[in-house]
Amino acid sequence: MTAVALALSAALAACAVLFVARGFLRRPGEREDDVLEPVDQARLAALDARDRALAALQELEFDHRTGKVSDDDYARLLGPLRQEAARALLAVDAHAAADGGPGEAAREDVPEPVASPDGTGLADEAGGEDAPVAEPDDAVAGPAPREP
Amino acid sequence: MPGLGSAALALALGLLLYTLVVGGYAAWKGKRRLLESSHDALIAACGATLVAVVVLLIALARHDFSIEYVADHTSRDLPLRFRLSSFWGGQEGSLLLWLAILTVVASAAVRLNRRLVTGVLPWTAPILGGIAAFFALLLVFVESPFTTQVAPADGAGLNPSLQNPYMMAHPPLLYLGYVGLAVPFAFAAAALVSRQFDERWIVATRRWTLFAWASLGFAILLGAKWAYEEVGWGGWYAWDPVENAALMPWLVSTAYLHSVMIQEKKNMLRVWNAVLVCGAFCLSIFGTFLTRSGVIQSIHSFAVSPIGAWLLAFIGISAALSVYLIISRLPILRARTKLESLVSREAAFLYNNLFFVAFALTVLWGVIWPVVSEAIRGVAVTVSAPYYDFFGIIFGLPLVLLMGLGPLVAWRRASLRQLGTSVLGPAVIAIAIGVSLAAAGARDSVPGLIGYTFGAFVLAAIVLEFWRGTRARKALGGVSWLGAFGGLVSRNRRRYGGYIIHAAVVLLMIGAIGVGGFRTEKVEQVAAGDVFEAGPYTLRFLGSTQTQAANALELRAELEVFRGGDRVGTVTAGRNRYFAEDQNSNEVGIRTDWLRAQDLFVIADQFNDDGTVFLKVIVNPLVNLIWLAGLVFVLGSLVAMWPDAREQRRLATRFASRQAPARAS
Repeated sequence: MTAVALALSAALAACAVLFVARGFLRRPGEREDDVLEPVDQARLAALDARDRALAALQELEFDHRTGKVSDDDYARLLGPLRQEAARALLAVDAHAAADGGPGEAAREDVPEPVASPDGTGLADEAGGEDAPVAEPDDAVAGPAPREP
Repeated sequence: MPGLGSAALALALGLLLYTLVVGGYAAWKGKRRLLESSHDALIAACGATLVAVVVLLIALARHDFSIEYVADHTSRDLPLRFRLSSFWGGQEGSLLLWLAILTVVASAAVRLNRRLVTGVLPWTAPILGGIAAFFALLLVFVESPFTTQVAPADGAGLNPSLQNPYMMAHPPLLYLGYVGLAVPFAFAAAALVSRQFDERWIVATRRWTLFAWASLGFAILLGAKWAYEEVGWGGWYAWDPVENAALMPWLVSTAYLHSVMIQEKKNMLRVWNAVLVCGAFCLSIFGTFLTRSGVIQSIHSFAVSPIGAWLLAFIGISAALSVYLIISRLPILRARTKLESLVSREAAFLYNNLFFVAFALTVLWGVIWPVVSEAIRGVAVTVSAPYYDFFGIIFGLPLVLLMGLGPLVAWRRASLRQLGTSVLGPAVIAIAIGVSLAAAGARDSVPGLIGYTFGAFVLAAIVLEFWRGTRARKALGGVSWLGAFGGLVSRNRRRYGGYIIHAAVVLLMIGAIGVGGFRTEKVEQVAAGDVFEAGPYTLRFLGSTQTQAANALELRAELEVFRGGDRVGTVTAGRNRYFAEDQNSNEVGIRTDWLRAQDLFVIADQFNDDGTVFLKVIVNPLVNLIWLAGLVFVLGSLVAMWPDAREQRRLATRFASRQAPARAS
């Protein structure tokens, strides 16, 4: 190895060591603690369940509007899905209340409980792929009738 | 400066081992600073690896033949672009490329998801570090690209078949696909280790998986294009073991991309998804093993070396750990919900999963059959194209049909009557097209005719889906048709990107059936001035030429091409004789008729001393739809994986709430 290569290698190693050690070189007290926070599994599971329930409602709505679900099937499936969504929302609220928070109604990433004419209670902005984790299908809920 | 390259690789190995050991300890004990330090080590290893990459690239560009790898894979007359692409033309260089991509992808995945999957990420970094450490180990101790020697006057040159523009893009994309599959694997394994196998690791890896899958798919097509033009037998996919090695993880990850949606929406198939993610990763390593071990004969086996045993051991360890983790976590993986109906979108996804996996296993069986048969009977029996073609039809046609049916079925439950109503329009169009094709004489290939009919059904279903969705959005009012269409796609990019990808698959199938079922072939020995027919073309051989190029002697036969009595141009085919490499290569002549998506494909098999030439002329109908499918595939993939600002905001809100529990998400 030439002297230049040796010097460059040493510099590279020094940079790497400094980069890796930088966390330990911070002043004490700069970080609050040295222990990872445990993940609140129950809270996240409740949020996942809520997202899935809302996504299912939005999917049903979209499938109905695009003619994949008949009026009879729509009416039959809607009730249980709404109950599931309500249960999920209550569970999330319970977690929020336990944490001392204002609950589901104060959340900005949850559909507003607007009473839409079709009864799903989903405003248009609630839809789209980003509302629940599960990327709910296109929420086009609103007053428009089902497409023939 | 080979010393710097070696030192950088040794440093990368040390840093990756640090990530594995210290990161694993930190995850186990919940030590924040150690954990962050291990993440930094992963990023530092990426930097060190990139230094090694730059050193090798400079050596290749500057003809530094004191490095064995440079001398073995380049020569002084090799053009710069091929000197640079020879980086992945041999074993050591391609391993270095693998490590470089892996460390870049791993660093980015860990860095970008550090707030998203806080419970899983501590275990993700050590797993990614462990995978990368294995490849760094190979590069430092087994196959170093920086081994030095006394510099010879000139190098041995690059394999002529690799001196092709497609080879400048195909291997890096292929590795991006293989390596990218390590990310969902690492997150899934970390979720299993940490017992947090909910949907968050899927959300975190969704676009990584799509990116890896799309890269692998596009790389397979680029490889096909290379084989079509460079290997020169007139086909585009030969079921070569190494081609199959890339196809298998792609098939399994395609199944995963579908089934993971069921987990997201219904919290089902968690065991199955874990199996698919681990399977896709192990198969990606298996592909590398096939390419490099020499255990199976392949046209790709230019990089055979003794690392096969190492790779086999790595596959064994990965598979064993995966099986252990899945079995030991079965209680938390079991689904709490059930399939509501056999006629539903979920069920359609399940059926397609079965076909995808069955097809992948069938291909795997064909690939390993020479080894199995040799072990059992003492004679290696190779499985050839008819085996794969048969199962391609058996599994492929139902898959295409499901591609059309799936989008038309509702989630959860669909009545057969409603399904019939949805299917009616596309079915009528498909049957009409099928009957028309049969009447037009396309009855020679029954599977081909069925394939075209199913393809028409899929395309009609896709158009119908876009139309219905756009109309539904338009019905909300206050938006134009274009606005409704844009809103439809942008609000669910994955679904509509997926439909575009489905259209790409149909295009590919139409092209593949055209080449496989309806091509014509003719072999002629011709002298200057001879005229002969090939399919719809008339060709006149004008004569042959011989040219001295920079690094090869180029023999060419020129033909004048007529169609329907009109001269449409010329086509030139020949052979190159490479000096440094002491090898010949076929340089086929291709004349494309873009209107018909058809190629006139000419192979000059032999140049005789008397001036005559043996020519093989093939007319490949619809072959260009295969390449067009590649572009549509990329478009669909980009739509599907394009980041969504609203989703990012929502996820940021959710995970920021860990610091402020009062905000419930």
